[in-house]
Amino acid sequence: MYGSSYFDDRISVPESLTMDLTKGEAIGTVLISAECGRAVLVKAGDPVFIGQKLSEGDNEEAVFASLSGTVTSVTVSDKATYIEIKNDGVGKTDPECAPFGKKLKDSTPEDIIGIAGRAGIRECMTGEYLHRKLRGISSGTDSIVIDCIGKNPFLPIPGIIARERSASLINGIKILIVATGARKAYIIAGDGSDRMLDHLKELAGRAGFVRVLEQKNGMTEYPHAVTDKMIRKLTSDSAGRYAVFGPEACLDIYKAFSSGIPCVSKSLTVGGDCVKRASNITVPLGTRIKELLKISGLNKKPSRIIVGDPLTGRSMTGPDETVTIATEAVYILSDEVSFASTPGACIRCGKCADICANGVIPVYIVRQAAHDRPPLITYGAENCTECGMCSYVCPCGIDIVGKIRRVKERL
Amino acid sequence: MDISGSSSSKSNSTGQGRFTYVFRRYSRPFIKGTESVRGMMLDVILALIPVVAWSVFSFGWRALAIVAVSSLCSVFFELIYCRISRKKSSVSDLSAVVSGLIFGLTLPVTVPLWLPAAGAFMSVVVFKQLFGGIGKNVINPALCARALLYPAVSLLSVVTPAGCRFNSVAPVLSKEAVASVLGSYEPPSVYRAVDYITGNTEGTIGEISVILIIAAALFLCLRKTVSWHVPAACAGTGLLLIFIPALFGFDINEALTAVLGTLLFNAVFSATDPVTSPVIPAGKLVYGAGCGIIAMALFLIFRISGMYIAVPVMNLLSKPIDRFFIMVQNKKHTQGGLKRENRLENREITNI
Ligand code: SF4
Ligand code: SF4
Repeated sequence: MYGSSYFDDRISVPESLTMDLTKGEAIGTVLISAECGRAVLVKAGDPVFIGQKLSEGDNEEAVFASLSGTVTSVTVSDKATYIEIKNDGVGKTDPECAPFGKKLKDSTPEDIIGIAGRAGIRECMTGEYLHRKLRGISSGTDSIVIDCIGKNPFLPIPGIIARERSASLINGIKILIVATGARKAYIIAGDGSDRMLDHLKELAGRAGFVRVLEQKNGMTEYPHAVTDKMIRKLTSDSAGRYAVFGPEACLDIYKAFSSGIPCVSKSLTVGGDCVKRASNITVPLGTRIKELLKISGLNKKPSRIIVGDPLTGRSMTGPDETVTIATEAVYILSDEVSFASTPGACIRCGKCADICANGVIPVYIVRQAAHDRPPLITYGAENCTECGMCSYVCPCGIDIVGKIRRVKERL
Repeated sequence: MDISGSSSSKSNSTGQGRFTYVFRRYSRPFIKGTESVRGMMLDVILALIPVVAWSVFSFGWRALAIVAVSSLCSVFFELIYCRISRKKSSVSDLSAVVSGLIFGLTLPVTVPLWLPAAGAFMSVVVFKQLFGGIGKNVINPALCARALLYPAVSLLSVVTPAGCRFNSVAPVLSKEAVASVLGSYEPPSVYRAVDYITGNTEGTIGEISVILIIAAALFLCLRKTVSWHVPAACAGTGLLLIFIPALFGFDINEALTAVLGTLLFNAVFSATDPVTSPVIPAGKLVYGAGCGIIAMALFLIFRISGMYIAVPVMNLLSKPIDRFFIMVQNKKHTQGGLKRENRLENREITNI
């Protein structure tokens, strides 16, 4: 069922967008990093507003203030320049941010690509800049596909956007249609048997060229991903040449087009069994992850703080790590649910081979990983997408994914 | 949240107290499912409890004594071995209890009580720990010990009918004691189907009740602790070989009495030992069928309870069987190209 703990009932996944912290005083300071060597346009003590440009340069080089307040420090290190902004709680937008002058029907693809570039919009899943992506695909595309299923059940935001931000999503799609020259758009969402997709369907029906396609168990199954096969099946092969976009990029381009505010916030999931209030929140880019922990509250000793989801994310690297456009979630796990690799032997239960969706036979790769030579039989290692399910189910706590990676390196 | 002095650790003060977190790189995935070896073994123990209860009901308290000696000794030897060899104790995974239970349940009620202790030593120390512990052994420890002790068991004990209860827990039953209990009991001249199903025939203490063994098998399959392939293939081939002669008018009562229980019990509890059986489903079917065929062949030719030998023999073949099927699968993929193509299509596409 959507919205409850559907993958692992020890960890509940929050079901709706609960808080917008981009305004107000919840976030104390943000830390924004500009590329090293780039001239910074502000100095300590300067007042800044949301969306104000902080560093020289156009398109991808530019960084923007994600809060209104005062610059407290500008630190130059050999990796980047860090600009810290203290929140004044007012949430005032930079006066230079203004809606795009033309109406959408009069805009050209170049206009949209320009907006996307100036706003610094990126695809969350891949980190690719939207304006580059649009430039790469703008000719001969028949349709665009919006992937509202996301990568896995621990990352509910794409699904929530389809359910709760339907209007902005459809508006963003209209803009992308202009930018790509496509004629139709498909939104692939989880199944709407709970009627939560009704609003989106109604809006899509009104827009005419947008169709909502429901993938059964789309939100609950793992590993799941929008695949070519899925698209062809759901669209009954009418998608033609298509391009896939994330729903976040649609919202961002709509915001940039309608208000001129660049991409300065990010919606993410804060969850895990250590968290008192698991929630999906929208925060300014540059918010320190530890502030998120403070807002959500902890009820147990954390053993792993994960940036991303518990299956494919990465461990948090240090206390100053901040929210970037690629931060889809923060999960805080206690010892009870954490994976701890144990040196014990494999009992050959075969659960890893049963669960693998890609036909890999991890049980034999585990044995192979001990050898230092290229394997004779690969047992499907080359098909492994590192989804993590085999390690998840292994009763012996063997770090199967790590071993497969080692074998893959030798292939 | 404040950052404490050390750069690698951080203290967090939220509502209820402070937590320290040390930044480290962990490998993916970060979350672990609830499966554990202990959980799987616990399932097997649960499945065996009714079998043990029935054995006590049918054979008297001595049955419980045998099972208790066998499983307690297994745990004891495992503890001692781990202590002596300075290994981390593996008692908590309960695998020793399971192999002790299985070994005990394959004995007749009249064995001397030192025999289950000897079997526990052989299975835990010799056939499990000396091979490197759980996961490293090539042959199922309990059945290997049972096979080696086969002559001793046949010499030192007699198979008795269920319902003939031995309540003495004397270390060794004297011939007279056995004779007097047997003398006071009148077994039916011929067993009916219902006797086989409920377990009212004769045999070793755990290997008589067909219905309890099938119930245990269903439980284990539903819990996904064992897959259905091995028990189905093993019991299926065995039963076929028992019943085919009946079609030609042979009397199969002897085969049923001697083989049915042990075939089913070991098909469900011993042949399914994951460590020593194949992983690939097709391999499991072949392996299970192999166990059934060898066991029946041994019975038909030598009149012995063949499962104790069939399972260890097939254990030795389980890896080659797996390898064979993996090679066949690989060939199919590269030649036909069909399935492989499917797989590539199934992979995640992020962009075009
Ligand atoms: S799941 Fe773990 S224990 Fe089971 S076969 Fe795979 S590696 Fe071995
Ligand atoms: S990590 Fe690789 S081997 Fe493991 S389940 Fe996923 S695809 Fe299969």
